[in-house]
Amino acid sequence: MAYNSFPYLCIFLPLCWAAWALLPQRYRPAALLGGSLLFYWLMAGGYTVWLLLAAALTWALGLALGRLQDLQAATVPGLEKTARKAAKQQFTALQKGMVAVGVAGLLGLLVGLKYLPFLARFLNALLTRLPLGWQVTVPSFVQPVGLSFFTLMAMSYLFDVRRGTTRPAAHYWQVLLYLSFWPHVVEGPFDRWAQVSPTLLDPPKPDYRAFTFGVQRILWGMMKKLIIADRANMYVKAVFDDWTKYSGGAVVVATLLYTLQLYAEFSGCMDMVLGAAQCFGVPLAENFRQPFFARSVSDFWRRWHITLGAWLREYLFQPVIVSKPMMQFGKWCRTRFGAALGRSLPVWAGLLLTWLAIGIWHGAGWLYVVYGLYYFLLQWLGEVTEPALLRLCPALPQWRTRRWYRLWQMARTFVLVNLGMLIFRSNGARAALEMLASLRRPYAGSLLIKLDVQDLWVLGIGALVLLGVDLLHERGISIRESLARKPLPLRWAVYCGGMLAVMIFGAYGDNYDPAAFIYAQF
Amino acid sequence: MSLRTWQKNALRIVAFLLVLLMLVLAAGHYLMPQSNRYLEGYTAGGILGEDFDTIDVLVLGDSNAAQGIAPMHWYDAYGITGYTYAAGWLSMYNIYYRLQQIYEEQNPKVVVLCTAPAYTKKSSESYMQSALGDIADELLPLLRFHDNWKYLTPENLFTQKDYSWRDVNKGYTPITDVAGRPNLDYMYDTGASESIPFLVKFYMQRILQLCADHDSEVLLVTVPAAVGWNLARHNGIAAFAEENGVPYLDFNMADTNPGIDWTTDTADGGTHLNWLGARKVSDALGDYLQEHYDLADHRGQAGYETWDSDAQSYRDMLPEITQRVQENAGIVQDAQS
Repeated sequence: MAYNSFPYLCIFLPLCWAAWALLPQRYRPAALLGGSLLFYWLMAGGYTVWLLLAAALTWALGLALGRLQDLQAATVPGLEKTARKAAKQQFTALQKGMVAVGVAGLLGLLVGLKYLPFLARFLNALLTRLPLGWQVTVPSFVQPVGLSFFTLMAMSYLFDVRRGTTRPAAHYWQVLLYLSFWPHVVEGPFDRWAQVSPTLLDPPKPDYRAFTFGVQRILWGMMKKLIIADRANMYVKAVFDDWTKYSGGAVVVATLLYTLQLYAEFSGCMDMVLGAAQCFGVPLAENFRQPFFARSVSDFWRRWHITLGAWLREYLFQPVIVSKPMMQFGKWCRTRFGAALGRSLPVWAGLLLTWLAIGIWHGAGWLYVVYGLYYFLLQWLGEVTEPALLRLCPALPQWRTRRWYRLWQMARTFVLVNLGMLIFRSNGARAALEMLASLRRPYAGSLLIKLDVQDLWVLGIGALVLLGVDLLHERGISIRESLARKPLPLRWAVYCGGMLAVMIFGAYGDNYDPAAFIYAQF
Repeated sequence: MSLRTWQKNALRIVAFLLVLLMLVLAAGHYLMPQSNRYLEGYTAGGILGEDFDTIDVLVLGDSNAAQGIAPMHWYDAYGITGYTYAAGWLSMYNIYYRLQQIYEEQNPKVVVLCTAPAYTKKSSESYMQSALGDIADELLPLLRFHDNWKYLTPENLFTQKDYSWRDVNKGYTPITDVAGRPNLDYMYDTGASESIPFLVKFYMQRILQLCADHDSEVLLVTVPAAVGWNLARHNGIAAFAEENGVPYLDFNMADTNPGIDWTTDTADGGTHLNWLGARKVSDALGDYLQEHYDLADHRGQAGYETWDSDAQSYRDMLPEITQRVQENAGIVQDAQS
């Protein structure tokens, strides 16, 4: 039951909203939990058990961490200094151990269900080089929907409880609702417990304004997904799935359309997700902030899939670079390579790890490793060449404040991101390299692949509308707020126009190939 | 009496939905094809071009029927007027609503309901999605014809639609391609019965009821298909037929098989029949209809002039089609050699 499907939009969502709104306030979380479990079960069937287990582990460890912290707060301050220090160390070790158990369990679930076949293939490839004749066989599991999302959210919950930035949930159903909440369980965003739990567990009264704003956002997401993304998918699928037939212009157009498709689809899905949650008064985290106005690839990743980047920055990159081994590595580097390089090397190591994690998170395969490495190399090259660039061009800091230079940076970032998209969408690392090489060969055939001229017009206009909306958002203009102040006939004309546009120009029906949400597979 | 806030909001939502519904219906009207030729896949839409109350046998089905049953064959042989209303991926939900529309212009004595749509659906959809999507398509023409915006011009937007086009093949599409497969047994007994999905069965029963309301007799027919049909499905349909007291003819079964040779009679490896296979099925079904139902010979009758002229066009076309399919099947070459 995809977020853009007829059963979801016309049956599931209205019924859940009606149940949620009509029930007394204290039972509203039950409506959300019931809806979430039903939604997940319809998507994953028997594999729902993995979600239930992950929630049980997270809840139990969170509760135990909270109890330990309470016990520590109650007993330690009354002890003598030396005993206090020893007790504190013991409490810390116990808490770390619990978090380690949680991370091992959740990571084990993630690795076991998602990465095991890839790891076995990798290991077997290594073993074939040895004269031992050993091969490893592993069972292959079906990856339950949203696995990469709910396991990482569960880990963030444990980390936050351990850090004391949030209090643990008292009841199992509360953690289960947090992890299974249907708007974010399939494609995120990675919401934090502290951010969503107040409205999930103590829902606000139904609010007409929140409801209409939520529906408007769902409509905007539908427009992106059905009019742009699913239409672009026809061209992209034809070229990338049969890449040996195409070169030059066809590959360029397919890459540009894939970038458009992925942006329209993922951000459109987030609009549908955030809009649905808004109808229930739950504010989820924003996952996009006009990514194509980014002036560097690192800026791009602060605007694209924001919550994944934030998660990895907070729970991987920062802990890694301040960890004891990394501090020792930094010290070693400073003695060997001098102060400047000694400071940079641990950061680069942390960055490499983070980019590899971003790549691997997207899928179990070498292609995703290459994808992560691509962005690491871009960021690393940007940093190491900066001093030389400043020496070569002393006016660079001044230029960077100029409009034309900012436009150049955006254009440069756009090209680099598109190259990354080509790697990401290709059928394997070898295919990516060959497609990149094929860019030099002109393409003699027609560029109208699977789409007619009218479809390309729709895509062109759709891209311009996206750009226009992003431009307004970049300037801090809230379109929905502005629209809400307009007279009713104008508002209704806009909403009806949007709905008719989805129904008329949507790429659905016999002439199109409906595409599943790309990020749902991650 | 003043309304509470929630009542005002509820009224506002209802009013908005009504406005939207009116716009959707109006847009659906303008997006309907200019000609009935393009109302549906294959040539199903041609039924609207037929004179009122001239069709005695109505065949309903999907692409297997559109490529497998040639009603003009019956007119040529027995004077039976028939039409194959069939198109790719037509579901039982679609068929029910289309039959309602057909009854507005025709009053068939026999409705031949082909059974393949009972089990087919697009792999990307669940049964529920398929059902809801198809039913919504039928209730809101805008959803079904939405892509026709590509063919709208300022000239044709407000012109009267012309739904008088007639198909000389009466809904059948002759295929001359040959892509054979070995004559392997695909109807072997596994002892199983594949039950018809609940909602599909419900709509099949609605079709039977609709036919009963219009005094049409129903005959369930399975067009030969080596790919997509098996004994378990036959058993499922047979159980439905028995439960509802309707006759059932499965041309895949040994006792009713009209002699399909899968090495030559299929266009695509066993999924659909070509003209060689369709001729055999049409012959067998025509014989059955002639034998079991009281169907008049309309040849030369007043009011059936268009049928006589279409039959002539059909006869003129046949030699070329037959020659082409035989060449493709290597039958002519074999004869020469």
